[in-house]
Amino acid sequence: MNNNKIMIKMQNVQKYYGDFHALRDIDFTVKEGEIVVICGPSGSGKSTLIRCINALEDFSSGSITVDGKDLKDKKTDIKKVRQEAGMVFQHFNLFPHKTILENITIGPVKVKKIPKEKAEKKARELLEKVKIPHQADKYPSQLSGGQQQRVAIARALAMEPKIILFDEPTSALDPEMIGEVLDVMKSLATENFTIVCVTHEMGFAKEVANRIVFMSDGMIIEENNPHDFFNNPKTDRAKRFLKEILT
Amino acid sequence: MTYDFNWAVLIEYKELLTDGFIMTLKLSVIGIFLAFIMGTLISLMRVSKNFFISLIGVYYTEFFRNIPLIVQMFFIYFTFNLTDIFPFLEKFASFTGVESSNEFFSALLALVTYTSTYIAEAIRGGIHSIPKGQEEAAKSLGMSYIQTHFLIIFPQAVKIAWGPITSQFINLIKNSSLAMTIGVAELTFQTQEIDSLTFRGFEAATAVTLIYLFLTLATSSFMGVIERFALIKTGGMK
Amino acid sequence: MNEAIKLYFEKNKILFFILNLVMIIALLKLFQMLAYPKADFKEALTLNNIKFMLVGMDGELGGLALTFVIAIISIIGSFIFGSILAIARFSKNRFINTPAILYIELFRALPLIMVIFWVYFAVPIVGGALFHTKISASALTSALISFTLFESAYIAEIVRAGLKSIPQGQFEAAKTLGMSGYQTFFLIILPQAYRRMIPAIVSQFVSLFKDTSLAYVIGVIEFFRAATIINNRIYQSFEIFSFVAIVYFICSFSLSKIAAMMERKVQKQLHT
Repeated sequence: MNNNKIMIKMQNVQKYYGDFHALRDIDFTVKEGEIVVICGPSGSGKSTLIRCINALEDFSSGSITVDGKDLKDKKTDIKKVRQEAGMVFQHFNLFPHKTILENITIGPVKVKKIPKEKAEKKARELLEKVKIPHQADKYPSQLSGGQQQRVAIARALAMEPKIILFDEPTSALDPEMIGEVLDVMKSLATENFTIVCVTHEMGFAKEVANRIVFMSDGMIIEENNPHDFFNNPKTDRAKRFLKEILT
Repeated sequence: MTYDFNWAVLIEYKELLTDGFIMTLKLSVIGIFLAFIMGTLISLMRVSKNFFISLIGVYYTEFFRNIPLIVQMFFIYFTFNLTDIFPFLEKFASFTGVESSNEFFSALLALVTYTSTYIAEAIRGGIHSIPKGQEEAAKSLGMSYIQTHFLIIFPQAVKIAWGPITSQFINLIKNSSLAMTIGVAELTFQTQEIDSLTFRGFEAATAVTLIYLFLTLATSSFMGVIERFALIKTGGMK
Repeated sequence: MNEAIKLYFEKNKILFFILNLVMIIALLKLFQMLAYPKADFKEALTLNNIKFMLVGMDGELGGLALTFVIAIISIIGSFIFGSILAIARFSKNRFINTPAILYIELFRALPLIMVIFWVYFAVPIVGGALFHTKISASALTSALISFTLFESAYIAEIVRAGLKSIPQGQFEAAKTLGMSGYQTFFLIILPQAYRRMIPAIVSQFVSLFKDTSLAYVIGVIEFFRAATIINNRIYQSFEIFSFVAIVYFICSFSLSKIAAMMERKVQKQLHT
C-alpha cells in the first residue's frame, strides 16, 4: 500500500428503510491497495454498506465517491463505476442458463465490448488461477458450492476491476469448501486490488487484512489494524462480539 | 329412427376442411408469435420500477383480459376497416395468401391483444420467481437495464413460465374458432359450411374435433420437446 | 421517487382509485377522439336500447340479466357434474375413471364453439336414438347444456386439485377414528377441499361469464347478442360496442376482484 490515492470515500452517509435507520453517520475511507474487513453481528448494516459502494443500494443522504466518481452526481455513469468495483455474492449468483465460460466472458464481451476470443482466452487463464481449469463447458448446477464461488470470483476478475467487494463470500458454503475459496481470496490480497470484505472468517482477517472495521446497529463502532483489534478491542460492543465469535 | 352416417362427405368436401385448417394455422401461428412479443413487452412494463409505466401495463392487462374476446373482435371489425387504416396489411395479406383481409386482421388483432395479457402474466410470474441476486450480479458487472433484462432475466423467466405459456398458445388455437363469427373461414366455420351444404353436421364436427385434438397435442408435444432440449443443454437433465 | 409514489398510494387507497378512474376515462376519451371523432353516444344509447341490452324485451328475460342467469345455472350444473367427474377420476375402477379422464381431456381440448355445435348436432341424434322421436332443444336449453358440459371439464380439474391438496394426515386421522372410506371422504375431505377450491371456482365463474357471449351463435338473446341486434339496426358500432366492452369490463373486473379477496381469505385460513 504505497500511494495515498483514495479509492472509496463515504462521508456522513445515512440510509433509511422507511423508518428504520439502516446506516448511521458512516464515514468510511479506503485507500488504493488496502484490504479492509468489515465484521459485526447480523443486522449491523455491513452488507448494506458494501452494497452502497457499487450502487446496488441507494442511500438517503451524505456522499459516496468511488474511484473519484460521485455516486449521486447525475453525470456519473453508474455502469462504469460498477465495472471498476467487482462484487462476489454470498449466494454466488452465477447465471444458471450460461456455461461457466460464458458466465466469465459475458461481462467483458457485452459490457466492455472485448472480442470473444480474447475474452475466452482470459477466462481460461482465470479458471486456471482459481484452480478449476477443466470446468469451462459445464453449467453452474453441475458444480459444487465452493467451485461455483470460485467461478464467481473469476467472473468478477474478468472485468479487471480496481476494487473487489466480497459480501460474506463463504457464509453459504459447506465447511470443507470454505478453505479453497479463502485460498483464492488470499492470493488476490497479494496483488494490487483494493479489497473490501464482509465476513465472519476472522482467521482470514488476521492473516490478510490491513484494517478491521467493526459495525453494529448501522454504525461503525471501531476501526483498527487486526493485531490491535483482536488483542486490544477498545469498545465494549467489540469486546462482546469478539468473545462470542471466538468461542 | 336411426341416424344415417355418411362419412363420405368428408372426402367430398375435404377441400373445405383443408382450407379451414390452413386458415386456423395462419391465425394461430401469426397470433402466437405476435402475442408472445406483445406479452413480453407488457410484462416488462409491469415489472418496471417506474410507477406510471407499470400502471399503464396494469391498465392494458386488465382491460383486454376482462372484455370477452368475441366482443373485441366485433368492436374492431365493425368499427374500423383495418386494411384502409394500415395499407401495409394488404401487402402482408397477399404474402400469406389471405383474402378478406379485413376480417382476418380484425380477428388476429383481437386474438393478440387478448392472449398477450395472459402471456404477460405468465412471464411476469416467471420474472418474480427469479432470485434477486441474478439482477444484482448482472448489474455489478456493469450491465445496462436492457442487457440485464434480455440476457439474464428474460431467458430464465421464459424457461420458468414455459408451461403456462404453452397453455396460452393452446388457448389461442382454440380461441381462433371465434373468428368464424366475423366471417373468417377457419375450421369451425367449415363445420357449419359443410353442415349447411350436406346436413352432415355430425360427421363434419367429428372431423373438425379430431383436427383440433391433433393441433392441441402437436403444440404441447412441440413445446415439450423444446423444454427438454433446453433442460438437457443447461445440465438440468443428463 | 417511484418508491415514494408507490408507498403514498398504498396508504391512500381511495385517492389511488380516483386517480385510476380519472386516468382511464382520460385514456378512453383520448382513444375515442383519435379513433372515432364522430361518436354520438346519445343517439346510439337511447333508454330503450340500454333497457333491451340490460334486461331484454318486455315479457321475456334477456340482455345482461339473462347473461347472469345463464352463468349461474351453468356454474351450478357444471359444479355438480364436474364434481362427479373428479370423484370418478379418483376411482380405482378402470371402467369408471377412464371415461371420466377421456371426457375431461376431450372437452378441455375443444373450443367452446365446437361444443356448442356438437350439442346442436347431437341433440336430434341422441333424442332420435333414445326416444325415437324428433326432438330439438330450445336455444336457451342448448346453451345451458353446452356451457355446463364444457365448464364441467374445467371444474373437474379444480376439484381434483382441491382434493389432492388435502394433506395425507387427514386421511390417516379419519382412519384411526374408525371411519369408513365414504365417511372419510364426505365428512372430512370434501368439506375441506371445497373451501380451498372456492377462489378457483369463482375465477372459473368469471371466465364462464365472459364466455356467455358465445351464446350469440345459438341465438340466445343475452347481453352480447342483444347488442349485435341493435347494431344491425342502427349501425353505430363504435358506440354500441364501447358500451358492451365497458359493461363487460366492470362486471368481470369486479367479479375477479371478489375472487382475489376470497383467495386472500382462504390463504389466511390455511395459515392459522
